[in-house]
Amino acid sequence: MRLQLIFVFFLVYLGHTRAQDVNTSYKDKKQKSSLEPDTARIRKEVEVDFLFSYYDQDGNHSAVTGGLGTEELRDYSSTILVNVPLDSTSNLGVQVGVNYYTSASTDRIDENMSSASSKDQRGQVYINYTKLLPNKRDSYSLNGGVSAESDYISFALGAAWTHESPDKNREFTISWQSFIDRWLLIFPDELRDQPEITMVPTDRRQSHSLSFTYAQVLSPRMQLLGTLEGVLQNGLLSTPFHRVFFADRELIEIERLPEHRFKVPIGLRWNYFMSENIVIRSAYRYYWDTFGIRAHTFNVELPIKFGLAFSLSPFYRYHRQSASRYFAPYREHQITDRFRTSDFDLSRTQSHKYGLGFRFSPVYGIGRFKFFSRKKVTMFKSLELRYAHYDRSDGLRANVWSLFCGFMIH
Amino acid sequence: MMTKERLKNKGSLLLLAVIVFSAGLQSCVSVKAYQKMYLNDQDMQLSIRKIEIPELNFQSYREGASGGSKGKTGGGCGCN
Repeated sequence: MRLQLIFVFFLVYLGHTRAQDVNTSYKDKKQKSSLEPDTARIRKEVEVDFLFSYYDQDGNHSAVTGGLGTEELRDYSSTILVNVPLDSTSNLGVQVGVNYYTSASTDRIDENMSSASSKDQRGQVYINYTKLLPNKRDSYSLNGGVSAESDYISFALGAAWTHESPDKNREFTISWQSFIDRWLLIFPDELRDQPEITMVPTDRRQSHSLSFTYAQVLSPRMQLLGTLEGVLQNGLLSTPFHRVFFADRELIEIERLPEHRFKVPIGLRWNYFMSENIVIRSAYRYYWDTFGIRAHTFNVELPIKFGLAFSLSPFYRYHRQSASRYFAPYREHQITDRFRTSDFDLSRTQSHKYGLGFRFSPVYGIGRFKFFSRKKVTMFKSLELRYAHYDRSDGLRANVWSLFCGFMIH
Repeated sequence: MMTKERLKNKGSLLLLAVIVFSAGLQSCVSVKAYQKMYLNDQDMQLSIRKIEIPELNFQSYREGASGGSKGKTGGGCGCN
């Protein structure tokens, strides 16, 4: 409640003090709409971006061991994002990524430490096609992809339609996204010869989302975006190797969750160019789902510019959620509970994330060379580094390092 | 007591929505293309920046709530 009030006063104060002192001598060189979602933009040059990240976490509430046990995990990921203009009105984007992770919690699926389940790889490929229609105000995009790890495969399919106002100050997008997933069922070692305990209704999971997004320019320095989304999930929504222990019995079971889940996230983004060198990027989200989780998330980032090339961005994110009605900690479930989980991701928690981003992006690029093509010049246009620390109220701690290198081929 | 608390929360949310919406409408002006030098700055983009993708991924796994920020809302088990 206190957080919501602070946010309201913050908005009202900035709404009244909004600046109208636009430097009209500075012409808009790009003439593009700042409202367009990144994936929908029609580019004129080939862009090749590299994204690397390192993630580590530790805690003591692993769901694999029933809500008590190490959650130590390290994840290394590399992603290449390529955008190729096919002609002046269409664009093809390809994203290829690989993750490698080691996990102390999944190592506890069986009794052998450092076994096959202690590490895994994940590969993913996504393709996106965007077409701007002849009226230059409507565009559509289609996307598809696949991601696979040793016990899980996921196929993605989606489409979006965007309509922009003639003055490019308002934009409406409707988008649909589906994921068709399939598990390779792996159960805790000690339960594999007990089919009455490990019986699950299906090895499939589907997620379908429909979202409506409205973006509005409020002033020459301020813009807003609202998103309403509905997500329907069906199938095996529990994880087959998550254990559950009971308060009243010396018995081990696997996690059980309903086969249907409906989620409604409502998001609001608000950006304000406060002064010549400070921008406020803020976001709020309210979340509701049929598992009983209600959540509020607030995010603020303050990019500070040093000249035209450098910027530093401190940021802070607060998240608070209520527990799912199916959650209980280690040894607190009753045998009569039809659905049960000891996964602390579904528990009542608060989390704080904070960190710093750095960007070096000179107007004419960091360097030029002939690397991807002999005839064309490649420009190393931007370099970004970002660090985030994450603290969850149940003791989980995480760190994320991300490095982004952007190239453009002329 | 619980019902009162719920009503209070719903009321504060409604108040927040009304104030934000009103502030938005009051602030609306028709901005010409040549006035968009600040809006076209890369820090003013309303979409998620690419460097934020790894954080969005782990948050969607570590929190029961996901979506609403153009992040991933399904696919991938996130089971470790």
